[in-house]
Amino acid sequence: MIKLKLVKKSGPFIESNQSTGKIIKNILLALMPVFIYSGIKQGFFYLIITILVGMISSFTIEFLYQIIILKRRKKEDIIFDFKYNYSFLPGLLVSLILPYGTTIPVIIIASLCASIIGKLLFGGFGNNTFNIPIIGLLITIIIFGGTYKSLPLDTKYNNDDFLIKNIEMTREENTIPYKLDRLVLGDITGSPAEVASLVCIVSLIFLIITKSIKWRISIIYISVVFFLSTLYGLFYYNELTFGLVQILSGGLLFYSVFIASNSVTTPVTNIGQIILGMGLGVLTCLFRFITPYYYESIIFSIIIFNILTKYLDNVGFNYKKEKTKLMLPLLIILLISISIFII
Amino acid sequence: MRGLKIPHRKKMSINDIIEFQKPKEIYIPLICGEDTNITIIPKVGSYVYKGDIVGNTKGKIKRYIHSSISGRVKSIENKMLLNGTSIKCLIIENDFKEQMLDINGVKDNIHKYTKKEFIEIIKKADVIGMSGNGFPTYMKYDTTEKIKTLIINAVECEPYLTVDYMSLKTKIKDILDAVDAIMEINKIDSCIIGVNKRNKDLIKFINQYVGTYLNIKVMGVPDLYPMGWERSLIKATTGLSYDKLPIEKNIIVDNISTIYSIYHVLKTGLPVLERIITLSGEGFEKPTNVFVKINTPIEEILEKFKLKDKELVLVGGGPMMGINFPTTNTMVTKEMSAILALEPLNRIETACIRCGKCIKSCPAGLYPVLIKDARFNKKKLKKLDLEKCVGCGLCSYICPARIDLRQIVKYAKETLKGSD
Ligand code: SF4
Ligand code: SF4
Repeated sequence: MIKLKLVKKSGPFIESNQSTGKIIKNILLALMPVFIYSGIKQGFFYLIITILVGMISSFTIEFLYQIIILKRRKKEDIIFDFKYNYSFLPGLLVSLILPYGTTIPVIIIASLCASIIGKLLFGGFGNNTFNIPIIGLLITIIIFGGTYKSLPLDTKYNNDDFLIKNIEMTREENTIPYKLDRLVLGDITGSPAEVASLVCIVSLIFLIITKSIKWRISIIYISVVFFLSTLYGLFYYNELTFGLVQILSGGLLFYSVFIASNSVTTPVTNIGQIILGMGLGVLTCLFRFITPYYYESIIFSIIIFNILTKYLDNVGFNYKKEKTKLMLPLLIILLISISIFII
Repeated sequence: MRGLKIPHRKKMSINDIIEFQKPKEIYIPLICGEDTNITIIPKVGSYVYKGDIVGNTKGKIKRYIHSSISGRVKSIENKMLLNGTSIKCLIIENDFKEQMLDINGVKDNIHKYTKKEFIEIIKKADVIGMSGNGFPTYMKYDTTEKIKTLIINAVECEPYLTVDYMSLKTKIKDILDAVDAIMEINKIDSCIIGVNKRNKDLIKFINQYVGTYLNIKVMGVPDLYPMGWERSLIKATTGLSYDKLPIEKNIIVDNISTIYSIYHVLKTGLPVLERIITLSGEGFEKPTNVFVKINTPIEEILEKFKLKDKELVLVGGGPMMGINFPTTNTMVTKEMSAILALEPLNRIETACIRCGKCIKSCPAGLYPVLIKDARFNKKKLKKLDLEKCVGCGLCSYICPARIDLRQIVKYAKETLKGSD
């Protein structure tokens, strides 16, 4: 009898080099350009403090939650949670999408809301129905209304100079109140995410190459917004750059790359993802053009589609057998896009 | 074409085919396919000749079990099969004389059979699909449909495996002779040998020999797993798809090892008694291919071909679809194409991140993640085409959360079956 050290395992006996950890690592890497660019624009000290506050808040609350409420106190459980729950992420993303100049207590509250309400109450990593950072942001907006922005630390720019607050008003004047060069370069008082719009394209390319996100959502989202608002701009302002303005403002690029394409809360099928991209695009345009809440339009679109994820999964899977299943969502999308031009 | 590029890891075992023809004993499992209702022919203590029928099925589908050596029946014992089931085995002690009872003599010309004789011979010799499924080969040829195309599966899409590659490299003349004979006997118009298109040297090599056979050609197929799956292979080589069986499109697919065993059967009149298997993986000191007797105990093989002294997983078959055997007290079977000694993976299952990669990679077009979500919901499961799963394992392979989706699909299938 030969002596062997045999281990019992079930197959497959090789595995891909893709893992959740790697995907998250890639997303963090893709955030680097954003970090650097915003850092240059808004100051690294400010940015690092903001991000650290967000990350530590999220991490701490999740740690406490695991230990006190879930009673996971064994060493291996703690290590497992530490390794596989990515508890710092909500705070990190929230701190990037909160407006420039948000005070530290507000950042803490937003991060905690994201972690607790967005993630932990739904059962933790991988179980959330709603996009986690969006929940954090949304609740902050609800609690603090417009006041959460406190004073901008930097008064170099005047907000109203280039942020479109109310399309209705400007439509009559037949002008677009923005300066494209400033938007492109990020010389605006937005969140770190908004400032770094342009470099998000680099991140997107990186994430597509490394297959780390559902790129269909990002690309289609951006394209639809671009296409619809270019049409809209031509129609109402006789202005060709309106589409560009739209995708560069309000952090749309950042949201579409890092938030809207979030893997847990979006459909699993290609078709579902394509419909989601289109839906987000038309909804965002609709909200942007008919309401004064320019910046929040993305947030609401994403939240609405989070609810529809299961439905889109079903569409994506049924459509193979019954092509008609596609009709309803496509029809709605078409109707919304038409309504944008009529309202 | 659906599928994924996965690592090859084939180089290490491309060197030689070593003869390992003298096992001290063999364990003949008394099972044909799933059928364990077998008439045992020799008594314990009696002498069997090489090639003797030692058992046959009682059911409608007649199949025969042969002894690959000559010697005395030592006992009947239970041994473990790869899949973990314990099965009655005839243990035969080798007298190393290779005694044969009725020697037909080696034939010079293997073309001189009628179709009926051909089918009878490969049925008696128990030629079966030698790369996993174990389906009796004669059943495919025993058809009134016209067979237009014979596709030879030499894709070997599983990593580590080099049986097909080495067989082609070393036995090409015999194989082409067998293919030509099969085509002539069954009046088949053309033959396509499907090889991974990455193996340019192999394609070139075969092309040097096929020159004289006008109706045989080699075709490179995409470097994807599971390209060796019949549906994919037929699609890639002919562009056709079928509903249930390839014969609907007048096609037969056979694995290269099966063709090689048909060659032996036609040449010698003996049943299938040997096969080539790959011994590979990081755990073998010297990975290689061996020509072994069917039913050789794995233990004897591992005594000769040493494993490294570290934690290893032993796998029968390829790393994607093969089965782990936790004990070495088992034997080589006809379907077994490899013994792999691999470093164990540390798969830690985490939460599904709904990335959809399992859906994109499934060659059968299933939705593994949706099956996982619906696994307790029979009504929903019914809609998810579970029976189409081919068990390729790509979903489990690709899942970034390391969820063993293939297993979940399998359980879901069983749940559904139980409910009907
Ligand atoms: S591959 Fe794994 S993580 Fe991705 S959707 Fe499928 S089950 Fe979920
Ligand atoms: S094991 Fe089944 S479900 Fe998984 S990828 Fe293969 S065919 Fe699809």
